[in-house]
Amino acid sequence: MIESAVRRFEATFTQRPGAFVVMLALLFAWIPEIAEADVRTEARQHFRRGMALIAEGNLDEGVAELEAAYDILPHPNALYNIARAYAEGGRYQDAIDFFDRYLESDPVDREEVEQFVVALRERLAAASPGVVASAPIETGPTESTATAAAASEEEIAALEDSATQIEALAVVAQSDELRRRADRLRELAATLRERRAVASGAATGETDETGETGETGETGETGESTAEVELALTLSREREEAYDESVVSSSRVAESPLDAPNSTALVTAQDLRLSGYTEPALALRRVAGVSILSSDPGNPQISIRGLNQRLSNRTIVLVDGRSVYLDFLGTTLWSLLPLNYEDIERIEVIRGPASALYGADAFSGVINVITRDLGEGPSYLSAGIGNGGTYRVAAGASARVDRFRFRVSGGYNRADNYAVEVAPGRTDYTPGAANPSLGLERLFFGGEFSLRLDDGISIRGGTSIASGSLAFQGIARLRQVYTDNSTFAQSFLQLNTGFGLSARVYWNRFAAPNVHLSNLLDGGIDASQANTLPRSDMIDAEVLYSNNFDLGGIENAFIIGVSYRFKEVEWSWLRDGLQTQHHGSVFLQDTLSFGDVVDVVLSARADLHPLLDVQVSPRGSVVIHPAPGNTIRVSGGSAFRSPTFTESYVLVPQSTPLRGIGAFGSGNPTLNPERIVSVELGYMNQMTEYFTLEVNGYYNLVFDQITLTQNQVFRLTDYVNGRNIAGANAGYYDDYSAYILTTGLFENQPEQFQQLGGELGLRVYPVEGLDLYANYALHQTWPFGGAAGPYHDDMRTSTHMVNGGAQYRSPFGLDLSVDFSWQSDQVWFEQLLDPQRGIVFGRFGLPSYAILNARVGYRLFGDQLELAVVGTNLIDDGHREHPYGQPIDRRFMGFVTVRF
Amino acid sequence: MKAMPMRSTVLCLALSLFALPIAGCEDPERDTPRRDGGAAPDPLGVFAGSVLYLGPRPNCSYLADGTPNAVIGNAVLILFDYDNPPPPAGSATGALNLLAINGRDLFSIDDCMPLSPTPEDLRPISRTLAFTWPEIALGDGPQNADGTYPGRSYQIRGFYDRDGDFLPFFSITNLATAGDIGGGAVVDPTAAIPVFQRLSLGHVAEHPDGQRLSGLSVTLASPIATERPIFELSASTRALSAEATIPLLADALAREEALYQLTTMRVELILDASHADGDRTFALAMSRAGLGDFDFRPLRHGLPIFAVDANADGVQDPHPILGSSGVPWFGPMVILRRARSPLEVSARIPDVLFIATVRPSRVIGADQGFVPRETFARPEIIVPPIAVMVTNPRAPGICRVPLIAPGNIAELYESQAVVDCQELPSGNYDVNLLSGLAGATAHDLAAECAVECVDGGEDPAVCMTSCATYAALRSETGVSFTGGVYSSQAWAIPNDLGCPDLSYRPTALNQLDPPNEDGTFLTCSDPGASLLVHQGREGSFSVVEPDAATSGDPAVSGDGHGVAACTSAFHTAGAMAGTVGPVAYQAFPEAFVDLCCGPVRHLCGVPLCDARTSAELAGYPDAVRAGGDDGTVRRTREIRLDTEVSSEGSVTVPLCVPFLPPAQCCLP
Repeated sequence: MIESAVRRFEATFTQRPGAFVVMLALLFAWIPEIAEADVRTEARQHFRRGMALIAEGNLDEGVAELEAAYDILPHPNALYNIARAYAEGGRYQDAIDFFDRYLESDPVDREEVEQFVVALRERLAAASPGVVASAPIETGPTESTATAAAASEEEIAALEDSATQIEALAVVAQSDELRRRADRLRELAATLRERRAVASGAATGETDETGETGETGETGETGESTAEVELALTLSREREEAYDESVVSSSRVAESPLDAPNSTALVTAQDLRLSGYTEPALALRRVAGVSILSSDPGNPQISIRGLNQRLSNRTIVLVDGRSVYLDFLGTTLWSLLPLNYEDIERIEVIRGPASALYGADAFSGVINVITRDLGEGPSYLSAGIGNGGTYRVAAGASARVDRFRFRVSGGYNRADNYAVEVAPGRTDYTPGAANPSLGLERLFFGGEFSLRLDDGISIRGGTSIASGSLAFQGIARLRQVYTDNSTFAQSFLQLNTGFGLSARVYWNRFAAPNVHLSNLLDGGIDASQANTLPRSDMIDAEVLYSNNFDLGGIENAFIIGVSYRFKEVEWSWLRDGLQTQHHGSVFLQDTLSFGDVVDVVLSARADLHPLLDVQVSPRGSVVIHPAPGNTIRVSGGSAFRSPTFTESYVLVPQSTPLRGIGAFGSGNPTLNPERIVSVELGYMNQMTEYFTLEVNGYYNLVFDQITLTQNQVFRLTDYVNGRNIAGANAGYYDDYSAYILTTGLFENQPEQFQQLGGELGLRVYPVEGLDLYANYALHQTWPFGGAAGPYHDDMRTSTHMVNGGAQYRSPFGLDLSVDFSWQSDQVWFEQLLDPQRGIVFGRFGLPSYAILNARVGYRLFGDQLELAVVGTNLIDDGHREHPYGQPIDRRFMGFVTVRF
Repeated sequence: MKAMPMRSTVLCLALSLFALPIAGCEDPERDTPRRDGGAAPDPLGVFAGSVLYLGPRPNCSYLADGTPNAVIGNAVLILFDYDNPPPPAGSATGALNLLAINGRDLFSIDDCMPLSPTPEDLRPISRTLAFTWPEIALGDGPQNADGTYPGRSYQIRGFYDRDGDFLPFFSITNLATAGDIGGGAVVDPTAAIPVFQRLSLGHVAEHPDGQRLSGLSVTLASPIATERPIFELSASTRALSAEATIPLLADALAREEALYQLTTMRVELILDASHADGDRTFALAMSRAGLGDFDFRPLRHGLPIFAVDANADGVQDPHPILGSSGVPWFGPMVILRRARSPLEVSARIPDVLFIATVRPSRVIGADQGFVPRETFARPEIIVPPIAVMVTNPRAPGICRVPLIAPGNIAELYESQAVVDCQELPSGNYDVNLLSGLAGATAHDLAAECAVECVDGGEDPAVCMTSCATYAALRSETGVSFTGGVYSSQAWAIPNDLGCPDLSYRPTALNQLDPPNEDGTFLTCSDPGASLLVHQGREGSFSVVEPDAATSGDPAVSGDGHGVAACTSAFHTAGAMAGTVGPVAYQAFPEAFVDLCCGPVRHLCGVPLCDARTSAELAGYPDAVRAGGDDGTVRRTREIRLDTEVSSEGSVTVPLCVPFLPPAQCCLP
C-alpha cells in the first residue's frame, strides 16, 4: 500500500511539481499551534525581542526575554547583554552576577570584562548599600535608565580628547591595541552623546539641569559611576550576533549566510538530533542539491550538484576546517570519521566550486562539519539498539578550567549490511570476510583541548582515532569490498593570535592493513586482489593572515594564506608500493564592503601540484542586499580536482569472466585535472523569523573528467616485444595464472559537459514549536565537444530531487520529526570487463526512489534524559541508490541519552 | 524541570522500549541475483578436479651456467559447449572459457629438461595438479514444456603449451603448436579415438547456490606433431556465385571436377620463412608477430590427411553436404564462415558456413595410380554450393538449415531434414583451416627409404628412385604421419598478420608495426607496413552475385526465398524421375520449431538488401573483395551501415537483411 502511495506521489509530482508544495502544506495544516520551534530560531526571537525591550528602556522585560533565550539555547552573549543591561540600569549587583556567569565561559574579552567587574565592585563598595538598593531605576526604569545613561558634555568631550591622545600614542607605538582602544573610546563618546540627546528629550524639559542635579549626590554618584562603567563597557558593546545563523566555510570567516559568496546550506545540531541518524552524512539528504548514495550502511557517498560517483571525489569534507577527505583514494569514509554526532554544532554545505579557498578537490562543493565549542554544551552518554544488528554507544565530556578547555569523546557502533551479496551456502563463492553480514563496526576515541593565553593568543589541539571494519563498494566484479581493522586518525595543532595571524598543522593517517572482497570466487583470482594499505599519511600546514582596513572609504576584509601538503601512501596496489607528493599553494581573498548594500568578494588560489601545471582557481562574487534580510548573489569561479593517487599510480589486476584471462587497471601520471567553471545566481530571503527562502540557479562547464578508459588493448607486438604499457608484464602473468588481455587506463574524457540546475528551498516556522521545510533541486547534464565517451548520456544524478519534512518540539518534552526525500530515476554507466574486448561500459538504470524517516523522542528531567525511537526507510521498498548497491531495508532503533 | 503529562511519558517510554524487541541478531537477507535486477552474482558452476600431464619434461629457461631457473609454459584448458565443439563436430570458433594452470605449479624446477638430456631425461614424466575452474555458466534458458529446466553440457579440451607461445587474444597464437601436449577430459584416456566427457550442469533456477562438479580428470598426454598451418588461398581461387548449384553430373569424378571448378580453390601452405613468392615482408611480419622461429620443416609443417569422424564412432563420416552422393569427408577441413559486421551481429543475423573438403580423389589417389595421399602442401578444396545457416548457435547440431540456390534437383531439397531454397548468402567469408594431429609420429619418407634401400639388398639407386616416386605420391611434403588423433589446430584468413578489417572489427588495429609519432598506425597501403595483404581481407573468400541484371530482382531470380520460389524442381529419381514437379520440403520437428526459429523470427518480413556494385560500394568498408582473379563481379547484398534501425525489445531489427531466415520460421 505504501509503495503504491509512493508511486502515486511520483506520478503526481512528475505531472504537477507544484502539487508537492500543496501536499506538504495540507499535510501539516492540521498540526495545532504549540510552543517552541527550531531552538536557534526561537532563541533568536527571544533574544532580539529582549534587546529591543532593553533599548526601549524596559529592562526587566528585556532581561526576561534574554533569559528565555538563554534557557532555550545557552549562549554567553545573552549573559553578557543581560549583565550589560543591568549595569546600564544601575543594578550593579545583578550585573556582577551575570558578568560572573559570563566569565565562566572564559570569553575572549575576559580581561576587559574582569576590569569592568572590578570597577563595578569598587563602585558598589564605595556606595552605601541603601543607595544602591534604592537606586532610582526601581521606580522609573525608562526615565532612570535614560538619566543614568546620560553623561555630561564635559565628560563626553573628555572621552573624545582621550581617544585622540590614545590614537596619537598608537601611531607612535604602532600599536593596534591602542588604536582599537581609541576607536572604542570614540564610539563611546558618540553613544553617550546620542543618549544625552535622547535623555534630554525623555526628560521633556523637566529633567534639565535641575533634574540632573536634583537627584543630589545619589544621582550624581550614579551618573558618575555610570560614566566610568561606560568607559569600560565600550570595550565590548552589545552582542547582537548571539543566535544568528553563521557560516564560516564560504569565506573562511564567520558571516551570515546572507553575506556568503556561495550558496551555503546548514544542517544544525537540532536537525541531526531530531533526524535520528547515527550517521550525520545521511542527514545531509535534506539539503537541496545534495545527493546521497548509500550502497551499504557504512559508506554514504555525497555529491553536490551532479557528477554522482560511487566513490565521491568531487566534494571535500572538512571537520572544523580540516580536511578528512582521503586524497589518495578520492573519497571520504564517513563511517570512520573520528567524532560523535552529539559533538557536532552544525554542518555547512557549500554548493558550487570552492577551489579558490580550499584548493584541489573542492570541485562541486564543500562540506564542513563544525563541532561544538570546547567546554560548551552538556556531556552525554547515549546508547542505542535496533534491528539490522545496529548498536551504538557514544559518550563525551566537555569542560573548562579557567583558560583551559577540553573535550573527550568516544563511541562504538555497528550495523549489518542491508543484504549480503552472496548468501551462505553458495558453492561457487567462499566468504572473504570474517563476517560477511557485517556492514560496519567502528570504535572511536578522541580528545581536544584549547588554551587561551594572554594578548589574544590561543592554542588548540587534539587527536582522534577511529578504527573498525566496514564494507564499501569497490570496482571489482564482485562489488562488495571489505576492509577490517582500518584506522583513520587526525591530530592537529592550531595557533591563533590577536592580530590576525593564525597557523595550523594537522596530520591524517589512514591505514587499512587488510582490504579484500567480501566474497571470493571459488578458484578465481579475486583472492589475489586482497591488498594491504599500511598507511596513507597526509600532513597539512597552513598560515593565514587576515586584516580589516578601510581603503578609500571601502571596508576591506583581507585574507592571505600559504599552505603546504605532504602526501605519502604505502599501498600494495600502487606502482612501486609507495608514492609521495608535495603540494603547495597560496591564496588570497578580499571582501570589499560598499556600505551595507553591496559586498564584493574576490578570491584566488594558485596550487602547485607535482603532477600538474600551476592551477589557478579564481572566484568572484557580488552580494547585494536590496533590503535587510534579502540577498541577491551573483558569483562565478572555477575549481579543479587533482587526480587521486589511484588515478595516477594504481596498478591492480582484475579478473574477467574467463578465469584464465585478466586485465590490469592502471593509473596515469599524465592526467589533466578535472576542471569546472561555474556561474551562479542566487536569492535568499530571511526578512522575518517565520520563514527562510532560497533560490539558486547555476550553469557549469565541466572539462576533462577522469575515468577508467573504455579500452587500452594490447597489440600483438606489445606482447612479443615485451612492451610494458602498464608497468605490468604483458602475456601470461604468473602471479594470477592468467593471460593479461588489456590495461584499463585512467584517462581524461575527450567529451566535455555542461550542467544546468538550481535549487528552491523554503523553511517555515509558522508557529512556535513547528519547523517545516521543503526543497526542490533540478539538475541536467549535456555533453558538448569532443568525441562521445562513456558518459555521453550521463544521468548519474537525478534530474529532480525533492525533500520535505517537519520537526515538532513540544513544551512537555515530546519531539516528533519526519523527513521525506524523493529522487527521480538515474542511469549509470559502469565499467565491465569483457574477456574479448577488454573494458566496456554497461548501462544500468536506477528507478526513482523515495525515503521516509521518522523519529519520536521524549525529553525528561529538564532534557537530561531523552528516549527516542527512530525509523529509517519506512517505505521499505528495498530500493537501491546505485545499481550495484544493497537494497536498503527498514530499520528501527531505540535510543537512550543522558545529558549532564 | 518542567511539568510533564504522565500520559506522554508512558507513551514515549513504550515507543522507546519498542525498539528492543525488534533488535535482533537475524542475518541480513540475501540480495537478489543480477539477472533479476539485483546486485548478487548469478549462480555459477565450478569444475574441480586434477590435470594429469604425461609427456616429456618441460622446457625451461636457464641461467648462464646452464642451471634451470623457470619452467616455460602453462597447461591451457578450454571449454566448449558439448554439443557445439569446434568443427567438424560443431561450429565453435572460440572457447567459452579458458583456464590457464601455471606450469611452475605443475612442475618443479627439478623437472626441467636438461640442456644435455640423457636417454633417461627423455622419458616421459607424469605430474598431476588439482584445479578449480570457476564461473562456468549454468543453464539459463526458458523452462521446457514439461516443466523442467534446460541445463548446459560442456566438454574440456586442453594442451600443455610447452613452448610458451600461446596467447589467447590473437588468431595466429591462440591454439596449440607442434610439441605441445594435447588432451582433454575424456571418457577413456587410453582410447584411440578420444570421446570427451559430457560435463552437465543444471539450470540457475534449480541451483540458486551454484553447482560444483568435482573429481574431474583432464589428461594431457598426446604430443602434437604438427605446427599450425600457415597458408594462403591460391591466386586461382574464385569467388563463388550466389546462384551456384550442384552440378547435375552422374559421374562422381566429373561432378567433383565440376564442383572444384566453381571456385578452383587451393590452400597453399607457406613453406619457408621468406615466402615462396619472395615476399620479404612475410619474414618481417612473422618476426614481429613473435613467430620468427616458426618451424617450417616438413616434419612439422604439413597438412596431414585424416578421415573425419566428428561423432567419434570410429567410422569415417560422409561429407555433411555431399555425403548423400557418397562423398566421404576428409580433413584438413576448410570451414568458410560468413563475416558479420557489428550491425549484423547486433541484428542477430544468423551464422552461415560453407563446409568444404579436400578433393576426395586427391586423397584416395584416383588421379595418381590409387596411391592414397597422406600429407598435402597444396590441397585442392571443394566448396559445395550449399550454405549452412545456424539459426540458434546454442543448438548448432539441431538448428542448422542448408541453403540451396534455386535450380537444383528436387532430391537435394528433399533429402535433407530441413532445407531452405534461396541464393547463397553473398559477402565475405573467413577461411578457417583445421588441421593437426595429436599423438602422431612423423615419418620422413625419403630418410626411411634410404635406410630401407641400404639394408634391403635391392639396388639402392633403383630402390631410392622407386621410393621417391612412391613417396611423392603419398605426400607432397615427403612426410607421413602415423597414429594420433585430430587436435584442432587452426589458422584463419584474415588474421593478425593481415590488414585490419574495419568492416567487421571497427576497432581493429595494425598488430605489427610500431606506432607513428602521432600515435596512429600504418595502414596496409602505407609504404613500409608489415601487414600482409594475402593474410587479410583481400586474401579471403567471397560469395557474390553473378549478374547485375537479375540480382535482387525477384521476378528473375525467383525472389531467392524458400518454398515460394522453389515449389517445383527437376526430379532425377522416383515416380517423377525426369520431370519437373513439386518439391516436398521437410520441416523442423515440432519440438524444435521454437528452439530453432525463435532466434531469427524478428527477421521475418524484413526485405532483402539491394545488391550493389563495387562502384556503389566505393567508400564503404564492407565492400567484398575482388573475388579472385576473375574479380569482375563485386556486388553483394549487404546491410548498409548508415541505415536506420528500430528496436523491438532488445533485438535490433535491420531495415534489410543480406539473406532471409528459413521459410518455415516465417510461416504465419
